[in-house]
Amino acid sequence: MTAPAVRIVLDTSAVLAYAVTSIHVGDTIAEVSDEGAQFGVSVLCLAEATRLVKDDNAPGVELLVQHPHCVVLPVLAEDWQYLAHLTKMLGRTDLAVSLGEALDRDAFVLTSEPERYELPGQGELPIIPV
Amino acid sequence: MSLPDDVAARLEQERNASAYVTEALRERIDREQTTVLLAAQGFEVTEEGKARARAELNEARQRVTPERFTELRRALRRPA
Repeated sequence: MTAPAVRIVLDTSAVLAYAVTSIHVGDTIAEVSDEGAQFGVSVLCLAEATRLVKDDNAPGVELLVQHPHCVVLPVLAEDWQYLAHLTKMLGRTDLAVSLGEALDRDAFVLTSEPERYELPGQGELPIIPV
Repeated sequence: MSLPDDVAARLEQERNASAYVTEALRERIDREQTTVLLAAQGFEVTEEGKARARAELNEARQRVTPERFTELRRALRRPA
């Protein structure tokens, strides 16, 4: 059986928004789930969000991972050069891994910091602001 | 179990009506569970909110097409 497609990738800022029950993130997750699809989040973004989240909101990060439509995306050894290249362009590894995962899947990055994904000369990127 | 005519007519087109109904019900249960789960965490998901999210997703899919994804992977030096 083919696994449902990952349609959106939450970056660190979207994970933090979920942790404070941003309705924009909740609606998007509900819609993607209604489509029978999944949403992904990189282990790097989960680690970074866990570092940044306020203690009171920390359970939200764990609840996100437990969502039945959530797929935790690993960082693969063979991707290190591609990830390094994107990191040099974007300046942060968590942004790079989110964009890379989205590009690999024809999926969209859900983010509350869309301005961080601007790549001069690259035109439209698969970004959905929240 | 009695069914409205339009539903019965649709089921008659299925070779395996039981599997069709099971799949439809599973999808519905899954949607309900998602809504309940999000509500338990404090999200007030509404049909209007989901419609807005759907419109945003559709707009994004028109803006960044599968061809554009291929172009970006090439431009950003994604190894094949």
